Amino acid sequence: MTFNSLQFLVFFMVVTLWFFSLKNQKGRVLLLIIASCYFYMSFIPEYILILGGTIIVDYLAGLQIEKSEGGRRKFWLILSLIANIGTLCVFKYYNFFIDNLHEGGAFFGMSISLPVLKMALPLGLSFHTFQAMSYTIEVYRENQKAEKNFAVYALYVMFYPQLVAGPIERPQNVLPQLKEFRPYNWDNVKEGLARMLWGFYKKVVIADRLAMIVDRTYSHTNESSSLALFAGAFFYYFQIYCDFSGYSDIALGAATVMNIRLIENFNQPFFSKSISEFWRKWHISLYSWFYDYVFNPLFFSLKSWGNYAIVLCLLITFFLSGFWHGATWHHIIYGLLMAVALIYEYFTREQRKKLFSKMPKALNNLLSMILTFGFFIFAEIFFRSQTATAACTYIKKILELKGGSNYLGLDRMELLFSVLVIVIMLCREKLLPGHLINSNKRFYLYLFSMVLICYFFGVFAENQFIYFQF
Amino acid sequence: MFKKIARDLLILFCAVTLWASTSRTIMEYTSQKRSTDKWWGFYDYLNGNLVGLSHLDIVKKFNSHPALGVNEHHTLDSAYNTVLYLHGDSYSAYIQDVNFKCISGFQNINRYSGGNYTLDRTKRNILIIEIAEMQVRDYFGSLRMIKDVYEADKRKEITGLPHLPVSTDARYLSFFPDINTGLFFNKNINQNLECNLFNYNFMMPMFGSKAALNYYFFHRASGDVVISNDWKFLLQKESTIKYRIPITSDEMTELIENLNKIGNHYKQYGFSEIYLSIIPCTATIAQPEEYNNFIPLIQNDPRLALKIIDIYSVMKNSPEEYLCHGDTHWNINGKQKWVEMINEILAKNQTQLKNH
Repeated sequence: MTFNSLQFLVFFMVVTLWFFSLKNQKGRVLLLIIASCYFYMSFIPEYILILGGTIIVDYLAGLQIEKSEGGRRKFWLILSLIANIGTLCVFKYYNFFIDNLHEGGAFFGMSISLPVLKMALPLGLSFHTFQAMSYTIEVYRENQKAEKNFAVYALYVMFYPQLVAGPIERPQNVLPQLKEFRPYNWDNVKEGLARMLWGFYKKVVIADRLAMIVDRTYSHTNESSSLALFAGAFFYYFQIYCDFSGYSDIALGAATVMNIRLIENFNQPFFSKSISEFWRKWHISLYSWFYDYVFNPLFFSLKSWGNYAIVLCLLITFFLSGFWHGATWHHIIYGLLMAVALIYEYFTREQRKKLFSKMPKALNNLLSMILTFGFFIFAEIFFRSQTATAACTYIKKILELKGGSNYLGLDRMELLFSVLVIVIMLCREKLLPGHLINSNKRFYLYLFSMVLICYFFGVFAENQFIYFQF
Repeated sequence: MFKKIARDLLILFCAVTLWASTSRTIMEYTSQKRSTDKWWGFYDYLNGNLVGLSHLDIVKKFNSHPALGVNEHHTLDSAYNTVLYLHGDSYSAYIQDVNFKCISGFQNINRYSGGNYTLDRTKRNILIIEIAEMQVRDYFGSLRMIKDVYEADKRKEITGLPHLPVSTDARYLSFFPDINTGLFFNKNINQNLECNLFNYNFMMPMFGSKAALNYYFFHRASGDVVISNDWKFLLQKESTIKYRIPITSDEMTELIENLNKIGNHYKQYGFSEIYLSIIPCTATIAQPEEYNNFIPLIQNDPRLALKIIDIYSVMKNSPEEYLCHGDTHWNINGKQKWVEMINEILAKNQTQLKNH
């Protein structure tokens, strides 16, 4: 059940209306657990067992960590981390290791034959395992009390709006909200619905339209002209933003309707003036996770190494973030490119400050934005390609500046329309970042127009959200 | 009070819609009842399934009339005691029901899997496996055919069933218990919901206007349908992606092995001959420049032990003659040609038998 499906719309109506008809929080929690199980099982039912297994392990680990002292606390934390990372390793990374072992063996003339796992990746595995780990780590650090109520803890991990593609939540934010009975609030309903519609607009009107261009250029790399390939890379940047932030808007909107506030995942990353600023505004929940649980602890333990510590910590953090996105070399390269860019920014910050201080501020900002934007267009080629070799070929073909087919898979009129809807999206997010419409009349008008726009200008090809694969 | 009643009614309506769209029985029942041209009837794909999917009836050029019947054919007698079995999909639909006489000279033609038959081993039994190209990789990626036929036979309480292979589904690891989830989940739920909530004759002007906007303003079809490069055919979007994906040697080996296993399985059960006929999708024939050569690769693989009814070679030489412009299936000429090819093969066999 993807967010852009009829099944979700009907399901959401049943759950939300039922949610508000219940008069106590116990009933609401139970309803949301059943709804989340149905939501998750609608993809591949059997995988609920994996989710259930990790929930039980982490719940028990949390209780034990709180109860125990000294070495035993560490033992339970490590057990929980092993359970989560182990699940990730088996279902997401096992085939990657085996494939590389096979290829490495073949390179050295050794014949290694290990079985590969023939099964689809459990949906949202990387998201819910990370969320579960943040709980046990926070309990271990004594920033969060262990949750005694199993149902509330289970709902923290499997709350359906953010179950399969985040935002990766923190226990301090969600657990108190799940325990508190919050009455119906019309303003929240309006805000949530308006935000959900904005998310649908970004997904079906922009992302799925741009997908036609991007899919064509990436599947016709050899025949396309350099200009067409550049356009494909350029539009992918907007596609992935509208796809993922559209998903996040729907998730946050659905939760807001039920009076639950999830953490923001995006904060207008397009206008970032540096790579480090970009990473504070893009997929915020994941990168704050890496910052809190990987970069920071690592940096403090290696602090005495000075600048080497920064370099090493950035390389490790972004290597892991690339690996989180996919068990492939092109995702790892994507992560490492980000690390290299951040290292460059760190070591040249003084020189750049001097250089840019000689320019007018507006020009300085514009140039910084263009450079940051350009770097991401280049780096995202590794993210979108099927293999690292394909990404290199794509970049090579752009740099060759050769002719070929300029066809982008879209009619010229539709191309212009795509640019128009992107501009509308950028202006709206910059100028009107909120979603609450105070006047009821205006709200209904907005609702009606957005439904019509999404229907008439939406591309309904049942495209899954890109981040579902992670 | 009024708000509360309205809310409860809405919950009930949504829950019932969700449940009805999950239940196969209810969907079959409502489909029968709603097969009417009244305002509450559902939109019938009379001008071709792709025209229907894209709601492009407004553009007359793609309107198609898919093949229902083919000419009768009486050239052979039935003295040679042969029974023909057909395991097919929508391409060969209606052959059994409407004009089984088109397959000449045979006492019987049975739809294998779901047909009412018992294999008579005193006769010469021939099995034709007909399958659309787009389904081959999924269907023969495992031994699903054997399982499907076995389950259908079991439901009909047919005795003497051929043994089921040990493992017919390699999708999941064996440690997952086989949970029966059919009561709660349905893969086609979104199509069913669309049918129940929006697919009414009175809603068609709205769907048509979106289709017209896309066609005349953006020059494309909507949803799962795309227009061919030469602007003559509507194509299923999925097929235009699938027909380009290269086939690896491992995958080919697996497919051939599975096909041979299926062939051996049914030979042991009592079939004298087994034929495979892969029907190309429209994209394969209409825009061959990006084709992955899937059908020729399978048909010409020396390891394949099944006999082939090669309609691909016939169709690729004259696409316009055999394809529908707005339907995934072939037109009446395509089906007629296929039936003629079967007749030719069978006639050859008859002659060989006679000479013996």
